[in-house]
Amino acid sequence: MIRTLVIGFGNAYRRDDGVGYAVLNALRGRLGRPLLDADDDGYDDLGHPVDTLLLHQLVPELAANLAGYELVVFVDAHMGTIPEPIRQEELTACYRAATVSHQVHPCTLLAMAQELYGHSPRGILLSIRGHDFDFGEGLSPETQALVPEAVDRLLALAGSAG
Amino acid sequence: MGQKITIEPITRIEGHARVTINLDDAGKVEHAYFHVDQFRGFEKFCQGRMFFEMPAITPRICGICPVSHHLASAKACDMIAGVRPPRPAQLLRELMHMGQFIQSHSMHFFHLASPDLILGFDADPKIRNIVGIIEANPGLALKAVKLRKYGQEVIRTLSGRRIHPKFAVPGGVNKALTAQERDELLAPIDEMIGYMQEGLALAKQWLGANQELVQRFANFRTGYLGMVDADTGAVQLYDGPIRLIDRDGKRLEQFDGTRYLDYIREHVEDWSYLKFPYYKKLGWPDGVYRVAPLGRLNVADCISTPIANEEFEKFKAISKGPVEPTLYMHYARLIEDIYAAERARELLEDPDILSTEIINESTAITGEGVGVIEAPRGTLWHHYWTDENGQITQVNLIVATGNNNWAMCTAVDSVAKEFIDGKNLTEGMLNRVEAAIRAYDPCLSCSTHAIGQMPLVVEVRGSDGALVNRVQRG
Repeated sequence: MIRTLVIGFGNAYRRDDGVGYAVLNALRGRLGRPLLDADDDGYDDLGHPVDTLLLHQLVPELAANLAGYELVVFVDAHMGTIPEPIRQEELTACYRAATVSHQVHPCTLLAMAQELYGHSPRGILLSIRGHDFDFGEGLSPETQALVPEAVDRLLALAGSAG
Repeated sequence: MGQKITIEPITRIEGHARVTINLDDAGKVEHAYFHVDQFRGFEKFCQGRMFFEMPAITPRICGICPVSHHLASAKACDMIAGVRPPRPAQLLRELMHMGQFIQSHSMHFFHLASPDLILGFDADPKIRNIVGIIEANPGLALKAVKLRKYGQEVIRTLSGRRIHPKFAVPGGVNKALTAQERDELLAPIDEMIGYMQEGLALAKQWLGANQELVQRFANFRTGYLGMVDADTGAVQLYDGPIRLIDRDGKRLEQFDGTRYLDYIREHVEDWSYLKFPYYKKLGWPDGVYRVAPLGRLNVADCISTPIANEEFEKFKAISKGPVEPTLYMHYARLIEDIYAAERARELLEDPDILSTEIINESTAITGEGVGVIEAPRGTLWHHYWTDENGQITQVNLIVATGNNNWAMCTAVDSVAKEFIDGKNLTEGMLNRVEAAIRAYDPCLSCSTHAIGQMPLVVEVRGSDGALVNRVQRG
């Protein structure tokens, strides 16, 4: 069976930026797995056909994890500059600038996995439209309403991968 | 016709940065501005919380230095609870802090700074990045990943989490270290120090070979501020008084960091949300200072660990007064990286590190607490006020990036004036401006990072606002 990793990332204290967390737990619920609290990254619960990780942001050492999978789906919020409520984008393994921050772009992680560990999985960015990025917990109703469809897409991707 | 160049990494305003460069009619830089948003929203967000929740909440400010916020917050909460943690808890907190320094400093040098140094400021941006470094020197890149992973492993071992630790609590910590965990953290330290020494050698070689550029690149005078050991004047990252020196290296103050309001004031400019801290007695702008590695090494008398101290002495020999050029920040950062690893070893070899006496209980509520710590990118203050029940009524944060605000603005202005030609704008010119900011390692990740943010954009606009030139990448 082809192994899949779903990475939800964002800041759960910035409302819709935490949609990755909401989608990840909704997915875990559909898979019959216990939910993660907002501070639990999920590293202690790897080893399933569909694994999940919850992160504040993407970091370079993730490249080693990626190399062990055939499919990696990154789940994040997107802003109004992207018209679709949910966008599914095939990623290429290449460097993408993060300017002055320690953050790493998903494409960069894929490239690092290829260069450092000899294998880059298929990468997909599943992004969900956010409406409210203010300080606070909980999603806006508009973004919350997109969570079930995002989970459906993840399950379809994982199923097709499997 | 005057022109304006805007370097805007992202379109969202929260916590992000933008550079605006105004050109005169001849295409020369008149002035360049570095704008950053601030954490006031987060301060408001914390009001109404119970004080003991703060060490768990505040790491959410930042995905890069959550441990620094966690520990500064815990120190503020110790003060509110009127209790000092037992020695083993202090050692364990400091050990976690060293893990944070190792992961952050290593990440910065190998992933953010080294592409400029190894591949060149003017190299094609398609290769001037970490992936290009891997292709140019795969061994070095792998070591960089191992270094960051080791730092994260220290944090994970202590708190059970790689990010957003819930380890330090008012009066101590909530988990002791086992002998097996200690041994596993001790085993790779020599290897890690070796990697850091390779990075330091690379930085020193580059700085030596590029002295003409180093002296031209954001080289300006300021005061310096950082934490020191009260007895020896050695670099301190977790606990100690704050020392402030002037532009000539003369000591101005050495004060208890909890009394920062007696010494530090914040200036406001109408073009940036981020305030500009300065030394009150010298006033604005004479009282501006720099923090972070350059600040800490410039104020200190020595480093308490042998390898880092040997490098510290060489660093200090560069100048009779403070070491000023911005690019020396990379040199200082790697010395601190080595110190963090050596200090981690000292802490792990301390017999008290395995003690289970890790908390002093308290039911007191003093109503106010200040926690100060050296975060990787500079001095960090958390200041909380509570009501009689311990509910937060007010929060004041002075974050490390804020302390370097004036320096980053000055560095951007200086580099823009030195290297930008508005009529023949190139990516390499833009990259030098970014590199000036990068050297200070500002932390802007308090914000969101939603997809759809604009890539890095440089816009040249005429005085009438019309777009004259535009450079975009990412």
